[in-house]
Amino acid sequence: MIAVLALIAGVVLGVVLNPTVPDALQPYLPIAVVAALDAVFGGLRAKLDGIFDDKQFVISFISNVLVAAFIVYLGDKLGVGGQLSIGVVVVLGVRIFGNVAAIRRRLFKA
Amino acid sequence: MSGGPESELSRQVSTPPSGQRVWQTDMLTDLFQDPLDGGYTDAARARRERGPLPPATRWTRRGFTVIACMLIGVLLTVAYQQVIARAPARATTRTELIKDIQRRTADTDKLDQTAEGLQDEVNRLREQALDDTAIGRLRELEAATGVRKVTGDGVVVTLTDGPNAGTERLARVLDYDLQQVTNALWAAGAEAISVNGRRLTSVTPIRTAGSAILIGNAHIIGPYSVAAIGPSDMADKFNDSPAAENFRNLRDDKRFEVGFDVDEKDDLELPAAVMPRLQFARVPQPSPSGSPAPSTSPSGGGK
Repeated sequence: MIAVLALIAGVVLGVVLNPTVPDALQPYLPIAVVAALDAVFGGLRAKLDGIFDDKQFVISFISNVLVAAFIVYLGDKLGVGGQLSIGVVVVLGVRIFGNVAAIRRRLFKA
Repeated sequence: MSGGPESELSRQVSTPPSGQRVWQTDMLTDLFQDPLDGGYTDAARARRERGPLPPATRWTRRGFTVIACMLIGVLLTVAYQQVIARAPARATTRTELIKDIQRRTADTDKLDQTAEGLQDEVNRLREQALDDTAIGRLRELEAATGVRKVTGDGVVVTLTDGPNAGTERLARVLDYDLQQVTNALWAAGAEAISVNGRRLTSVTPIRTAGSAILIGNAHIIGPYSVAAIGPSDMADKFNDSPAAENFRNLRDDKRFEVGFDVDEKDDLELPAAVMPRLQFARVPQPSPSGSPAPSTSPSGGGK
């Protein structure tokens, strides 16, 4: 519950502060969003499974975002940025879908 | 990120007691079967084994979670705003580019006019310096080669893209079509031709660059009007040509409906082309330049 409140607070903060993203970081933003969503749904599922762990959540969020950003960066340098981004999105997308499906099964028993 | 110890454990578990080797699930299968980070189960087991952490540590970790959640919230908002902000930026860039193009086109037109004015001045000064017979000859030559404005009776052929030019290739007027028309006009006896106000010289190509048609270096857009000055039977001869027949077919075909009109017009005025600069071709020194090249030569249009 406190996490949801913090999430809402973050959204409000983002709206109020309206931070500008440096141009250099902009390519990483979409990937960072996908990575963050992966961490969120993973955490949510763990919560519903009763095995949520704060440390695990924080570390998975940070490392997801960093690894995703690094892969995109590496891809850009190697000239295969688009393909590697797709790879990241596919892997994280599969995980998000899997976790959301698990959440759905748990909540709706379907 | 599937936690190392956890997968190690599951591997040991999945090994049958007989010690027989089995193939492990590969990374992708793992990913599809259990998308949850192995770390959560590890942590849960650790909690069970060690008991709960001291409250201070728990609250610190909870604090980090809160911060992470806030970060995620900010991240989502920022990403959303970026997407929103980028759309108008794209539109702005587009309008900027369009403006740029229009400005440069206007610049080109202005420079063209300047060039024309300067050409007039050059002509005037030259005529002051020359005697009458030389002037007469010079004017003839210039008119024939296309670098002097000419007037006379002739024909205007108008070509327009068909209504479904976007999808039907043949409904679009291409550089090839203009070449056909100009060649047929030359063949019908035209002595001077301009396309959309661009006079053809002996070195003016009609070609395609991207989706635009270039007359020399000037790009033109439809409707294309090809004006030609020539003998009075030029229109009839042109209408008898295979090119005109072809365009009539394209015009009457319901699939293409290319606009095609041939009008006889009196007192056409064709502008002068900018003097082409010859870089490689030279006039042979000993003989004085020969008779003017026949202006009916199709080489002007048929590149």
